[in-house]
Amino acid sequence: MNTETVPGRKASENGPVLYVGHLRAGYGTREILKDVSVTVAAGEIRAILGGSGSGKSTLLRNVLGLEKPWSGTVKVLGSDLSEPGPEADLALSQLGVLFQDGALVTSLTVGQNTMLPLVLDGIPPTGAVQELARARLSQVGMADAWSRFPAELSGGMRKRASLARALVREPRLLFCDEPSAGLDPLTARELDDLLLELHGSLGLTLVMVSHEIESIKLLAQKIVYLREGAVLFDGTMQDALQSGPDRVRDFFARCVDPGDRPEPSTWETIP
Amino acid sequence: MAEIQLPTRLQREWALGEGAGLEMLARDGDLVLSGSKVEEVDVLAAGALQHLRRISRENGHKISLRAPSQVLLDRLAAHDPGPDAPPPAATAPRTALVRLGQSGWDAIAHVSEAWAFGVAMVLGTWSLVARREHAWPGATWRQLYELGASALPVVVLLTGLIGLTLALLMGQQLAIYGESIHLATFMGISFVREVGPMLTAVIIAGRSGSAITAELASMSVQQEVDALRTLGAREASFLVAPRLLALLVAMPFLSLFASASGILAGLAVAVFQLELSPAVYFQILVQSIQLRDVFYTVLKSAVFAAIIVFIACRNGLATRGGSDAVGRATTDTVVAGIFWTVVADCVFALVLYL
Repeated sequence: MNTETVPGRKASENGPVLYVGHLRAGYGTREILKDVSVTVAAGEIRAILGGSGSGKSTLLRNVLGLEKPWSGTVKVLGSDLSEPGPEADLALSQLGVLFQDGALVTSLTVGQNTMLPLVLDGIPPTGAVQELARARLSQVGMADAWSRFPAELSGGMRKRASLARALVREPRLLFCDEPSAGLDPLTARELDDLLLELHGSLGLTLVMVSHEIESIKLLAQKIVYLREGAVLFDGTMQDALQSGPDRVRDFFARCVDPGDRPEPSTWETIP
Repeated sequence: MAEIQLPTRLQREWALGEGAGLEMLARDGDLVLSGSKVEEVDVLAAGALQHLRRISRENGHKISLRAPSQVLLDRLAAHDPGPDAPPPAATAPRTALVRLGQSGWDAIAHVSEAWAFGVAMVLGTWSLVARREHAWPGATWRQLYELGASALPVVVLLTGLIGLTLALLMGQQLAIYGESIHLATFMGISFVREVGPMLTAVIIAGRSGSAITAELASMSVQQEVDALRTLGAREASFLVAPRLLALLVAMPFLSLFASASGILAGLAVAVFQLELSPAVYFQILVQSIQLRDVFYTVLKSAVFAAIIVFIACRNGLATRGGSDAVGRATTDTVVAGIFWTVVADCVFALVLYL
């Protein structure tokens, strides 16, 4: 793990990189997360999974400070991102997010998108910044796409470019929202390998929201399984497969969360 | 209690004919369907039977099958619509007072939200100007081109055409009274004070306002705005400020060009229809326009620019949902942009000329 001390990097070097305590959250009056607690230690690869509608994306949005929690605590690298201020800025500068469809800025080229995090820090996009961006782009195999616009790229390429952008500040923590969703199996595996490699070389803590069984099996050391806005299982992959709740083992065995099938209606019959 | 013998083949014809007719019976009382001879049930017939069951239950009656064949049971199971939906929770009817309170509360929330956005817009723009926060280098110049410079041809052309029309109408009226020479006065005052800035505002609200909303709304929908936030950018300084600065600079110039275009169209009418000399036209024109009028035009245009950017950015950034939401937000911007610039213009007129 990257343990060198960088000036200004004070945010809880030793504490958990992500702490969520008794989080309740939702949209409008609709409650999505009922009581969620998750702790992720530095250097972990953690997958947050569950069927659709289980609250995975809502959890991620609340963790990233894009929604304000109803109650409970969220600390990312020691600070609450939904409270803007220098503390949140410091934490934001040490994390990267890979959004589901890449979320590259459409009006900027791939190169400009990759330089964007540093430009937002007030560094002009020339010289050193260009070299850093090029380095990240070649790391994800996208060096040729420097001057292309996001609209000209395929889904997989957009994700790679977005990953380069997320990595350009050399973050300690990387969030991935459905990293392999919408990709063909081959591209998805390549992306998984890339993430695994980065975890090894940068000592990155990885928190991924996913329901791709293959990616999770390959990457995750520990999982959190959400169901209807609550944590159904939190533990290592091995425990999940051997002694986890039926539903979690089912999920890994058959790639589905069966959900609750409604009882069929019955017709009354008389002889 | 009625008992109905189901035919051997339950098909489309049965479902639309006899089957549909059974609805009346199901509504009125208990119903027994005798299905021992059924050999074939098509999809529409299965649907019709399920519908009969629903009607019967909703009216508090019983429906049952007498000695149904296996085929019938299988087909009914294959097209099972699921358990009956629970009756909708009884909501207490809201009294007029409660509704009034609710809409009052909504209005307060709306105003306070707009106020917060306005404050964020001003602070964000200040942060950008003071270089405490950063947009993409050259973003303001790009917006200046896209929102301002590229709108110049349409603004000049439209105000010129309207100038021509108004000058033709006024020229004829003035000629009746032998006052053709005051066409210059009319064109000067109306175009510098009112028509130039107002028409520019309407065109820009439609053209550049909708462009801003469409771009920001699609960015919101595609999570680009979320991504920017997680990169530590504030949309007020990264997205709103360059657009505000660009339009604050561009609008006064566009208005002045618009006024000039209308006045020149008036000159054409004066020269070719009223047979005035250009020198006389300009002499009267200069006498009628005061420097104060030009200053107010610049001020008014800047205020219109702020209103348009405020509405367009707020609508764009508040967009949630899919591509239909982008379209709706864009329409809202055009309507609200034109409405509020006209209101602001009216306020200016009351303050300046009353």
